[in-house]
Amino acid sequence: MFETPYDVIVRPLITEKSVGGSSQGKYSFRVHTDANKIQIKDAIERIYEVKVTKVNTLIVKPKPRRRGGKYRMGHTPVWKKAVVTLAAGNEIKLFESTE
Amino acid sequence: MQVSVEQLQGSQVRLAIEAATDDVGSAFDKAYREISRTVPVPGFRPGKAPRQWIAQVIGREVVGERARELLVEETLKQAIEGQSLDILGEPRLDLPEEVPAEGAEFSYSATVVVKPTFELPQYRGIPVEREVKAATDELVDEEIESLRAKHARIVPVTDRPAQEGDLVDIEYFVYPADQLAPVSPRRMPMVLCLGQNWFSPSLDDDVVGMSLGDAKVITRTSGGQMMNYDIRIRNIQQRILPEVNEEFAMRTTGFESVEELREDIRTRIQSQFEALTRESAINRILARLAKECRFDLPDILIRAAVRRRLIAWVSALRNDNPEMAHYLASSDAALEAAGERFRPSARAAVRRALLLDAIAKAEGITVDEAEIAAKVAELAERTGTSPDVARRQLEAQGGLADIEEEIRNAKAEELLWSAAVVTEVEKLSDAELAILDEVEELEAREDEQARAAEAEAAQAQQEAAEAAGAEAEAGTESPASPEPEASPEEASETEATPGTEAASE
Repeated sequence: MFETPYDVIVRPLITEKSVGGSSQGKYSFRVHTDANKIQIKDAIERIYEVKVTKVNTLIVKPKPRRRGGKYRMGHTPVWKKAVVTLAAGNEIKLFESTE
Repeated sequence: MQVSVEQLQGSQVRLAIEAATDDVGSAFDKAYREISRTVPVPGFRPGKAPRQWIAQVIGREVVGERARELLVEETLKQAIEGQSLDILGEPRLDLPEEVPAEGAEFSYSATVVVKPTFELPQYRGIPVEREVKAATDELVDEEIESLRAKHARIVPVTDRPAQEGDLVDIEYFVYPADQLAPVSPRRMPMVLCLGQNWFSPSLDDDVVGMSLGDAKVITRTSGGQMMNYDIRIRNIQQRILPEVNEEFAMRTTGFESVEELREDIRTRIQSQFEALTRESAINRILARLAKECRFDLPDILIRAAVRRRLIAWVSALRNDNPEMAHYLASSDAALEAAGERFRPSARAAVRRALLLDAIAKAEGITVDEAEIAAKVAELAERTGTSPDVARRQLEAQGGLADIEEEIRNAKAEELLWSAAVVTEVEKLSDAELAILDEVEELEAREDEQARAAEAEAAQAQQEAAEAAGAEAEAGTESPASPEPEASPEEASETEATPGTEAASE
């Protein structure tokens, strides 16, 4: 179903919460909604060349949004978040180096 | 941080500043903190985003530029304080094009104008003449006459023709003498005080003898043309001057007798004379000092002084010649041309202020808080506000420093005056009268010289720039050659040398 690991992993999430977890080896990603934990683990290991010990996933619920008039309702997209725990000694560089 | 100082011409100083790695680092810290607090970064609360992420999202250039600003602000302030320079105006910065890098040093240079330093000539015991003027009886009489005129009673006259001293209310229209009267003229109202020639050309002689309701055509030359003035008397009033007696003294000034009133007027005139002659004598002392003490004046101060004079002149002109004032206010070029003639007097005033400042410094004259407060209170009373409000306004405009300077200069003037050798004379000698003009002439001459030197330097700079341009053009085969970058430095060097030569002439 997924041809490359980049079809599974949409992008790393860089927020206060996700950056805070990186010291414990936990990194968050936006992943394809249909991807399962095994596929995610596999994709992360191939993209970043690290060892993954655990994958937690969750569906981010849509939030209602008004579109145009009073009765035209929409919602924010539904997406899947994955929190990946790496084996000790592994690391993912989230930022480009400063120098 | 390392600072090296180089003296340039025209009381300018070039500071070459080399900021150490620590300074650069702390500037970057500050820049990151500031940006992370003010620029929203998605996914982070203000102030919480990591530095690397800010650099990536906002851009390293942006952070670097802000860090450079902060670094220059901080180090320049330190450098100026460290060298205890008394700077005037804003520093001119010469920054490298690249933004500083974290963990590296950063050097730049700044040119500042400083208060000129000069050797103060002997300022104690300067000989000066002071005019002795007495408040004579005639002057007191004049004052009493004007007091009478101010309290005159005005009564209408109906039973006699107008005579000298009357206030006559007329209406008139004007047309050239060789024409018939305009078909529908607009009559203009006017009041004449007969004998005082308020109107030009004077019609007073012909109005004398006319009665209420009389009309007459008077021919006068105005602007080289014969004009007819068709006038009609609308009203005649007589001024009845009060008699000078005890009642008059009581009513006008609150004194019990005429003698007391006269005595009061006499003392007032006398003290006015004294203040005036003292001020003019101090001016001449300062002119004497200025004549002896020649030094380069910073252009920035001259410009500011010219500007102050221009503003005062234009606002005075608003009443006399509104069109001219409007034209001047709308055109910078016209204003600049008009400012030319104020330059010598502005230069003299700047030199005078610098001399007083130097004397105050040499004598250790200080101004304490109470004196400033008193002056602020005085100012507040004059403008009808409370001292606190006035103080806040002054603080906002930076006027407190001006007030302090004013008080200090007044004290320095006082010192000059008390140390001077004053000769009281009936009439000032010619040499004494000429000193002010002499100094102004000297300033005008020096101004001309300074400007000639400036023009020469500008031309040399232009030539150097052209030469550098030609050189750069010749070297276009190697586009990465550093030659064009070196040219501004060459140009600024050539600017400095001919200037100093010309200034020392």
